[in-house]
Amino acid sequence: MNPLASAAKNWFAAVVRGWDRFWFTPAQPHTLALLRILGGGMILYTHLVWSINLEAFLGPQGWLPRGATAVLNQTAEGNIYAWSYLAWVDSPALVWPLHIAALIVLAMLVAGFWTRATSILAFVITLSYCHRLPMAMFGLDQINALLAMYLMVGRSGDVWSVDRWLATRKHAAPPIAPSIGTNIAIRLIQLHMCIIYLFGGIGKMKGVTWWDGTATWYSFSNLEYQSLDMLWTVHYPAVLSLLTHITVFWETFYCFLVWNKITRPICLALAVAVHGGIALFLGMKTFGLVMIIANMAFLSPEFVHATVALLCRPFAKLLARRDAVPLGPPRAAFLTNPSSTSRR
Amino acid sequence: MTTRKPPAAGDGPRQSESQEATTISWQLKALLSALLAFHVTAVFWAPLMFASSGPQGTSPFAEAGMAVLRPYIGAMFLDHGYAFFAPDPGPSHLVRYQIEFADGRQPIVGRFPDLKTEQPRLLYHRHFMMAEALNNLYTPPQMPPEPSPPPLTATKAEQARYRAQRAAYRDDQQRFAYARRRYETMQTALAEHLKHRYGGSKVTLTRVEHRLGEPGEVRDGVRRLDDPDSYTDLPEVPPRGASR
Repeated sequence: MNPLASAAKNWFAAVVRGWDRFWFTPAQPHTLALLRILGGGMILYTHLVWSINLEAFLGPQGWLPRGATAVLNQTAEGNIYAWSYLAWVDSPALVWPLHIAALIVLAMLVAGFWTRATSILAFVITLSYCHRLPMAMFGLDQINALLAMYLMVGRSGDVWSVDRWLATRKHAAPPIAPSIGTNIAIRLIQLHMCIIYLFGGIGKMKGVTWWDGTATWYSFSNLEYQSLDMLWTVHYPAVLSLLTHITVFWETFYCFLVWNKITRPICLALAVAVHGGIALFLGMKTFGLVMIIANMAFLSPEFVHATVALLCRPFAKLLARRDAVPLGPPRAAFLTNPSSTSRR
Repeated sequence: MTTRKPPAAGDGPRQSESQEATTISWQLKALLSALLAFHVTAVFWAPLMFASSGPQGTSPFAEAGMAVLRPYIGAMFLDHGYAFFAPDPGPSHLVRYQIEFADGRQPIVGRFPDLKTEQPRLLYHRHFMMAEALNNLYTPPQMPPEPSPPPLTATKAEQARYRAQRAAYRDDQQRFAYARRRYETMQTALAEHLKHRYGGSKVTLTRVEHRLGEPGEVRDGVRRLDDPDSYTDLPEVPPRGASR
């Protein structure tokens, strides 16, 4: 065979193998289960906060009534693609039951109860609120929607869930097995995060203050965002500019550095530092936290499993002792090693 | 990283029971691959569209792709630029309101977002985002003037340029009408909500820009972040000669 054709064939075969390995290698559910609990918890909290003034947002005389949202969701060509079941109701008599039902579904997702069904419903709920109140949304809602979208793809209820616990009680729990769906869900979260950071970095590169090193200062000096007074940093311009440069380079190159085993821990540590800073200093605890949660998609299931087991060890011992006679091993296993919950 | 099987012996799949979760046919793989490629492209395209927009318009290539992907992007809430604090951290925008009453009561003046009344912080942020959205949607009430026709003595090139300007102006007219309608809709919605909430007869909204603190001013103690002169009322009709 002509060497060029041979090289092209080999390259193409390598691409196919790489694609196959990337998307279709089964993955254990622990990372996705953690994202279900933490990400689902954030989605639940987000919707819980709407309850404080639900009618002011979803009622007929709300900030953005249905008719206004329809206009705002319309494209220049007159089409509306942003669907929402809340676009059909605004009567408090209907809005409240729907909202309470939504909260119950989201709580069930966090607990991992009927996880398959509740993860799909959680996605429908999350998007419906986002599309119903587009002008009140921000980064938190984008990441909530991202997590809700991919949680329904994988088997996030296979561990650390009520589903698992119930199956174990009935001695009907299948072994904890890796699955392709779980891998696809994790891969999609990872890629989506890379795209977010890439464009976040590119956007900053268009600015002046991200280059001259003053962007961090200007972020700190925004009174409407500020939650902790960081104005004293004005006396340390070199530190402020260092933080600014790190942010830009980290965001832009995240999509490369996070895949490498050597640079991944640095990349994720910076994610915790940057988003932790946003949470603490810039008044966006929810956004900062949800970004850190989404970054956890890059943690391996082994690491997640080992860490959770370590953190839960005291509780597992407690439960094992209390239920030693009738339900000891299964309930303890709910919190500990997934292998021990397997049917032997 | 996430695709490797955990090394612990007991964590591995039981071949017979988990067969369906670990192996799928090549036909299904091909179908899933196509769906995944489509989805990831859509995720990528929305911020690409945002990043490739400039004073000359948007990249025609990005526009063409968006025309195909827009229904999916819109339906899946993927239409984001992800430009957090970019290109530069800018001033905040607030909304001041004045509610008047038909029965002669004193008008109520307030502003949102307001951290004192909107708690927890997430609720405050919702109000903040609405104020920012109103400002982002702002479109002046009148379009820039139509291009003037060239004199009768104009050259062919000048006449051709005028025809191109006229055609562009018609497109601009449609864009303007769309943008203005969105702004007026949001402005009216916010005003009506406040009118209903307080039982007022008339509501006036003013967009307010709160500029950021300059390092020199803060370092020298010349200005506090909440100094009244750092808040500027934004006019509904821009002054003559000003462009937004």
